[in-house]
Amino acid sequence: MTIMYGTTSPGAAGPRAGGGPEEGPPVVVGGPARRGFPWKTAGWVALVVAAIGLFVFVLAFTRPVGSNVPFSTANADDDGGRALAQVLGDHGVTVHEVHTVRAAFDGASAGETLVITPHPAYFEPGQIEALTAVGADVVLLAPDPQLLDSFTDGRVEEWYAGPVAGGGPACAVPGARAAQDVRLEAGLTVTDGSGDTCWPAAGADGFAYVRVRSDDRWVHVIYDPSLIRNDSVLAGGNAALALWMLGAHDDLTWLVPDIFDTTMLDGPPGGSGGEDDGAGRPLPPEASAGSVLPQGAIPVVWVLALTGLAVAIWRGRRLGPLVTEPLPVLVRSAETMRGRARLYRAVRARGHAAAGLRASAAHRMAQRLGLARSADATAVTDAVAAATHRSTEQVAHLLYGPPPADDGELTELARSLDNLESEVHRS
Amino acid sequence: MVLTWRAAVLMAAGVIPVLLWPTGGTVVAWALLVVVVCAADVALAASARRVEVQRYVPSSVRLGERTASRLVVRNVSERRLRGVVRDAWPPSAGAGEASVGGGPGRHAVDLPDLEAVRLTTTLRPVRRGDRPAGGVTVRTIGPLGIAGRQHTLPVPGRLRVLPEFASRKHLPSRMARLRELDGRAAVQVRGEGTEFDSLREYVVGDDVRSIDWRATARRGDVVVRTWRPERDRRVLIVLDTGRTSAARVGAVGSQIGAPRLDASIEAALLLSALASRAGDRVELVAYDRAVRARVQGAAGPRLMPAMAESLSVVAPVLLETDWPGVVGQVRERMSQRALVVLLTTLDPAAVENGLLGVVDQLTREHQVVVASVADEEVARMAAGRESSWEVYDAAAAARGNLERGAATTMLRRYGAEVIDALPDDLAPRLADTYLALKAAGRL
Repeated sequence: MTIMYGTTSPGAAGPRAGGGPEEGPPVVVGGPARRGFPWKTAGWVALVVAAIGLFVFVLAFTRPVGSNVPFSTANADDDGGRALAQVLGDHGVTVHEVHTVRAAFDGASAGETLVITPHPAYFEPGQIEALTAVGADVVLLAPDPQLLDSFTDGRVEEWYAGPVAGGGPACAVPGARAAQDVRLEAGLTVTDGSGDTCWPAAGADGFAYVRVRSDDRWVHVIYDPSLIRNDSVLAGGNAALALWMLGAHDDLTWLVPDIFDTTMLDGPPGGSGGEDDGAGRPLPPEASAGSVLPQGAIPVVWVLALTGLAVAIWRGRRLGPLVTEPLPVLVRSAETMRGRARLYRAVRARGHAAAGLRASAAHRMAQRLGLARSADATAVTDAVAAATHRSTEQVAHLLYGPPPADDGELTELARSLDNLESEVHRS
Repeated sequence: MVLTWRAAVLMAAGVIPVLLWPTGGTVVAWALLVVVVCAADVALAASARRVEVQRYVPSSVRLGERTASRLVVRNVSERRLRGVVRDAWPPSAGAGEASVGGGPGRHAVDLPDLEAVRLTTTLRPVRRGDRPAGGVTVRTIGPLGIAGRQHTLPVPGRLRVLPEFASRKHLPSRMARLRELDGRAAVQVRGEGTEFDSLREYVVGDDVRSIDWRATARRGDVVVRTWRPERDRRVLIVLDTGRTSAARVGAVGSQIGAPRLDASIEAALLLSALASRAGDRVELVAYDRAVRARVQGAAGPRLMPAMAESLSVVAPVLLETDWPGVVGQVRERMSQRALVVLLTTLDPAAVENGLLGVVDQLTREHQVVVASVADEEVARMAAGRESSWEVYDAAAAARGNLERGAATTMLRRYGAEVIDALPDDLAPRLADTYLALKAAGRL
C-alpha cells in the first residue's frame, strides 16, 4: 500500500501503474444533503405498532366462551361437566366453580356440598389438611390416596376391580336405589366394614361407590370420575346418582384443581400457616434475589448489561453495506446422468443397466476391431471371440446373455466386460 | 454513529463507582456520563460526508492477474480525520487485506484538514465478467477514540475481468504447424483450397511436377511454383449461451467446476488467434434466443482485444437455444462459403430437438464444425466398478455416452465435423481441426 500525504490535485494524484488503462476519476464531494426526519419509516413503525396493539386488544376481549379444562362446569366438550352443572342450576342449586384450595376453603361450609374433581397431579399435604377442615359434605371423584385417607381416616382404599356388575346397587343408600344400574368402574373397598358400599364389581372385591360418615358429614367416594363427564353422565343411572349426591344442598362448591395452584400449602389458618399475598400466592421474604446476593450486586448487573449493549453496538455496526454479486447457477453437467443412475437403482433396473454396459462395450470393441457400424451381433461375437481366443458361446453370453438376476451378478458382469474389453484392446 | 471498544470499556468501568455507591442512581448517572462522552466524541469527530474521494480503476484485467483499485481520499472537513476507509468490492473481485484487519479493502487513515491520501487495494478477480465496485465507506473516530461517524459515498467504478485465455499456451505450436503448412505447399499436391503464391528456384527434392516450364524457359533456370493455403477465408464462431452452457464441468469432489461456457470461450479465443494469424477473417456471435455478444469487422491486432472485451461479459442464459435463429444469424452474416464453428454441447435431448433439425441447412452452404465440451465426471462414472451402486452409475454413463455417440454420428452424416473433448482439450482439438481443414483445402 502506498500512502502519500500532502495536498494533491486530481491530475497530479492520478497514479500510473502497470501500464494498464485507467478510467477517468469520478469525483464526489461530500455526500447527499442531510435528509429530514424519516417520516416514511416512522409511518411504517406506527403501522406495525398499531397492528400489534389491535391484535392484543382483540385477543383480550374475545376470550373463548367455554373452557377446555376437564371436569369444568364451563366445558361443553366430552370431558367437561357442564351438562350436570346446568341441570343442577335448573333445580335451584347454586354452583360455584373454583380452581384453588383457598377458594374452596373459603367458599364451602357446613350444610353445603363440596365436590373435588380429580387433580392433574396431587394435592400438597397442607392443601389436603385445609380441604379436610371444610365442614361441608364432600364428594370425592377418583381421589388420590392421600386425599382419600385424610377424608375417611384410612377406612377406604382404592384398588381397581373392573366394571360394575349388573343387578342393582346392592345397598340401602336411597340415591343408589333410585339410580339402579350405573355404568362405572369399581375399585373401592372399606377396610373396617363401616359405611355403605354400592355396586360391586363382577367377581372381584371392589365397589363403585362408597359413603362413609366422618367428622359429622357425609363423604361420598366415586371410583370412576366419568360419572360427571358430559359424554357419560347419561349412561344408565349415572345422572340420578350424580344429581342425588351433588344436589343434596342448595350450595355446591365445585373444585377443579389446578396444577399451578399453590394456595394453602401450609394448611388451614390456625395451624402453622405462612403469609399469603393478595393473590393467594405465598411470598416468603427470603425468596427475593436481592436478599441472597451481596450488597450492590444488582446495580453491577445493570452496568454489565449496559456494557453488553455497548459491545453489541460496537460489534454490530458494519463498515458499510454488503456488496452483492449475482452468481452463476450451480448445476453439474453430470446431473442428468446421476439422475438416470438413481432411477435405475430405485427400480433395480438391472436389465436396462446391463444392456447399457453391454452395448457400450460391444460398440467400443467393434470400433477397435474395425467392424462396420452396421455389424450385427453374430459378426461382433465372432470377431471378439477370434480376437480373445475365447469360445463364441462365452462371448455371446457376456455380450448378449440374459439380464443379471441380482446386483452382485450385475457387478460381476461389468467386471467381466472390462476383462473382455482389455483382452480385445491388447490383441 | 459508531462506537469503538473504548466505549464498552468506559461503560464497564462504571463497576467501580457502582461498587462505591451501590444504588440504581449511580448506574443511571454513569450511563448518562457515557452517553454524553460518546455524543461529545461524535460531535468532535470529522464529518464522514465532507470527504472528497476519487477512485482509479483499470478498465480491464485478465482473469487470474493482479491489479489494484486506487482511492484518493481528501479531507475537507476542516478537522483532523482519523478513522477507517473501506474500498468495497464484490467477493469475486478478490480484494486483498489492507492495513486494517477484519475484512478486505480496509485502510486506516489519519489526515489533517485539506490533505489527501492515496489508498491502494489489490484486486485479484476469480471470475470473468464486469465487477461493479461498491461504495466507499468512511468511518471517522472522535479525538477520544470512543465514538465516531460513518457514511458511505457512492463512488462508481467498474472492473472488467477478461477471459483468462489459458489456451494461448497452445498457440506457438499451432502457429508452427501453420507455417509448416505454408512451406509444405511446394511439395504438396495442389488442389482446391490452395492458391498460387510465388515462383522460386528449383532445389533438389522439389516435386518435378510443380516446375513451371514457361518461367523456366524465360529465366533459363529451373523455376518451380509454390503454393500456400488460401487466405481471407471467413470463419464464424457461434457461441451457444443457452441453458446447457450453464452446466458445470470438471467437478472434482466438492469443487463444482467452471461453467461449460468458459471452456467454449477458451476454444473460441484460441481459434480466433490462430485464424487471424493465418489471414482469415474471424467473426463471433454469442447467441441463445438473442444476440448476447458480437464481434465483426475487427482484424489484425484489433481482433483479440475486441474478442476478449465482448466475451468477458457473456454469461449463460437459462433458456433453450433457438437453433433456427442461429441459422438466421449465420445466413445474415455469411453470404459466401465459410467455416462455421458451433461451440455447444452434444446433449442428446437438446441436439435431437434443436441442432439436428437445422444442421443440414448450414452444411449445405458452409463447412460446419460442432465443438462440444465433455465432462470428466461422466468418464469417472463410467469407470466405477467398486459397488453395485457405482455400477448403476456406470451403466447410466455408458447409456449416456452411447446416446452422445449416436448424436455425433447423425451430425457427421449431415457433413459436420464433430469434436467432443474435455474442457482443457477442447481448444487445442478445435485448433487442430481448423488446421486439418485448412491443409485439406476444405475451408
